[in-house]
Amino acid sequence: MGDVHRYDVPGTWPTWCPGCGNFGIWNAMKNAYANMDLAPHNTAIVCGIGCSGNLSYWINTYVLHSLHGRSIPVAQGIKLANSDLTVIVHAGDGDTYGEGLAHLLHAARRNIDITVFVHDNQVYGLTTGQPSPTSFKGTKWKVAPEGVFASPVTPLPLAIIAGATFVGRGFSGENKHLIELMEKAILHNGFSLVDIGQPCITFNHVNTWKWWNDHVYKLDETGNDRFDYELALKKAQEAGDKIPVGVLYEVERPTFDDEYRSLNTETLAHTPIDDIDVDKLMARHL
Amino acid sequence: MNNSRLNWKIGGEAGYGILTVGEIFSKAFVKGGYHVVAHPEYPSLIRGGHNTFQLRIDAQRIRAPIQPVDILVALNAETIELDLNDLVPGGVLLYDMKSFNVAPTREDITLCDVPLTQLVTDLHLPKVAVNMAAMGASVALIGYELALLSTAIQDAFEGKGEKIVEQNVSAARAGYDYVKRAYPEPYKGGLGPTEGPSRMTLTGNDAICMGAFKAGMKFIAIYPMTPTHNVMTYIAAHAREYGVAMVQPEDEITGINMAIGASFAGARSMVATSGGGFSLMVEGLGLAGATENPLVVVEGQRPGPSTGLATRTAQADLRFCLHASQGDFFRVVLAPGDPEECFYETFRAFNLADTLQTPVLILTDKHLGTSFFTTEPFETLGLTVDRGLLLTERKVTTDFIRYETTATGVSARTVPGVEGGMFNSNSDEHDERGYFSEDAPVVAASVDKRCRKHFTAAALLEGIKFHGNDSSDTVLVGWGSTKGAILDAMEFLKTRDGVDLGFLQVLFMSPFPSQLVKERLVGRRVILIENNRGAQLGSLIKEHVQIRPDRTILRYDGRAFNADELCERIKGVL
Repeated sequence: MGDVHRYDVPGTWPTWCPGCGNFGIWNAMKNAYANMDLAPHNTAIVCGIGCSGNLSYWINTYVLHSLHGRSIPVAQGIKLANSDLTVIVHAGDGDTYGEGLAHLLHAARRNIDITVFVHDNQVYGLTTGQPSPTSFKGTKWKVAPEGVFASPVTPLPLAIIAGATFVGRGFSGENKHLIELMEKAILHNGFSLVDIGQPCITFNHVNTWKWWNDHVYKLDETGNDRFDYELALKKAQEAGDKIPVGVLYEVERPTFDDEYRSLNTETLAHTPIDDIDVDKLMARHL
Repeated sequence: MNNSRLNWKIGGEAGYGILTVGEIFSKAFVKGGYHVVAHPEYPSLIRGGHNTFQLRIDAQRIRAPIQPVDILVALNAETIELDLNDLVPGGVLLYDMKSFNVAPTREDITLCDVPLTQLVTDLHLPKVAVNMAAMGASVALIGYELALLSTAIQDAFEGKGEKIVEQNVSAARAGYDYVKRAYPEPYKGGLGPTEGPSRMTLTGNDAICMGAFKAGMKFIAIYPMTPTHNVMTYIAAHAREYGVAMVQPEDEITGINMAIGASFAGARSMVATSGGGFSLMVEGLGLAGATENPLVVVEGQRPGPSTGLATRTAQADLRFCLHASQGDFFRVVLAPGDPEECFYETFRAFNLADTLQTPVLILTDKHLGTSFFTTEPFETLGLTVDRGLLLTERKVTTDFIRYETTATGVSARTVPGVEGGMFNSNSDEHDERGYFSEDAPVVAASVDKRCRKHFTAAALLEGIKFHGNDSSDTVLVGWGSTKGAILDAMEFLKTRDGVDLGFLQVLFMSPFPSQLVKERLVGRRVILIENNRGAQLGSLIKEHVQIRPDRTILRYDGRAFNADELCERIKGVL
């Protein structure tokens, strides 16, 4: 087990609102990395834009703080170029389920070995409180005074159907549970999505700490079979009085990056390129 | 007409292998020592549309198509309806009179009736083989050697097995034999093999792919889009051999972001698209600029805006490429003019992307990217990969500052996996360590750093080429794929009209070679030639060196300039 503080950026402290759900995710993340002894220099974290993406400033690994919605494509490029790296995405619900939903589904079907942690606070916080794709229908906001008209995105069943081989949900308030869930997701060989419920204490007055505590229950305390596809789809859609947290679904399937890995003995990023012969190509045009 | 040059065109229904035929026919003449320029024209359809392939053959160096054609091969009635006026008076229309009942409306041409369908039916071959028979018939009509055509057919089909090769060769031979018997006199005395060095036949996009392979490109993402579809085909065919990962992403947004990720991880990366796809990539271009990750972008232009003309040509995306993305950062924009430049400049583009740590855009178009040209094999001996300030050590022991302020604007770079080299490759405005900053002096310093690369690049690059007569009072100015038509038009002007002009080719649009452009243009009469309506290079020249072209020759109907047409238009404004 490694030292949690090796992932701290010295002299910095997060600017999230005191009491923000992001602190729980940040803490769980560092503990998960420490438990797994992830070498910071062999870890590439890709962040989106939003309160979640600002995590990029408070984690001492290689980080690419990318665009809103595009962290999954960037992460895939990193993994394909160097499959020796542990590649992890930290992005928000607006990032992943709004602007980047297509990327999520395609990454899932590719089953590329990256892990996506979605900090799902059901609100756009950094832009001062607009409804997000996961905001509940009917909830009222400054910009939706009549209440949200559309039903929320259901990312977890979508990801399972799209082909994700590891799908889970965590809650920022269940830290020990979240640490274990994160470790499992990272260890899984293939595309992993973990949706992490987190209160936004400033702008989301529906999904509060109390709301979350009242609604979550732990799947592993119910004898759930995470390898059962049909059951997983059913559990992933539970959104009523009780919301399951834990591993919803897991399966082994060949990964996209393994297919590409067969191209080279070395990773693409480390293949020597100083003396590449194109005479053979030219000969084909003669 | 002497017997060292010929202009041949074939037309047929989409699905009849017109492009394949064109390629094979081109190679048959290149093998006999000729230069060729060949261009397909086709609507954006898979079946039923009208496709043509025009081939200019010459013993001398040629670079662009011309009109009219000497021989027109019609595999469908539409070719006669649409292309008959392309025939020179005295030219030959070769077709199968029994196959379609269309009476040619011109009397100043010769008809060469060849029962193509019957010939392939007699050989028990599928009807599509009429294209081979038509090539054989053409070879006989031209008085050229069947053996060279047979070799070209063999090269094209050898991957498909001996039987397929033999069938195609036999169809060609049948066409050849028929014409030899029925029309023993070759057209204008015939065109025999000539002496010439071994040359390659290739498209601009082929050359870009070769340049990218040579440069050590390891990652490429391409969403299919004409006219860079053939980049995808070429890379896919050789990806395993060269250890390159090619991904077909769900959209161009994904493509460019994947490429940025791969580049951040240390692999030389590229994307290729057209204007529409590049529109989707613009956000990603800014990400590469802000994070200072190297990236090569190929933008194969076609007419726009929006869907435009998918399979035609234009040069109207220059301003777009120069300005794409919000905010201040430096990008290189260059425009090769022929396959040779496509190869060398693509190789250089990867070096520039690495040494400047910023995006490099290569502007081509449908004409350059998909037409076939002949060129001698590229000299690769002097080509050296330069990865700039990429740290190759696996461990950094000193305090590493990724975005350190430097005189060049470029700072040392590590990649994930290097111990002690961690940093935040940050799309937010950031300080020297990549940490987000809104502090006014820090912000200004960061913007300055990115923009300072402009001067670093300008000091490295020549940016122009000057061709022809440098003491001429009148100078032609152009960029990109018009180079071929301009050079050939100059050749016509010199040999036919005794007018010896100079030509300023602008190769780099960013950094703009202001000083060199000014030196060549000041005090001279300037004729600007572009494949767009807005005279975009002209506006750049005005902006940077305050010189206004005296005359502009613009074409924006989706077609490239023909050399002879351009020659006439130049004469009209001399």
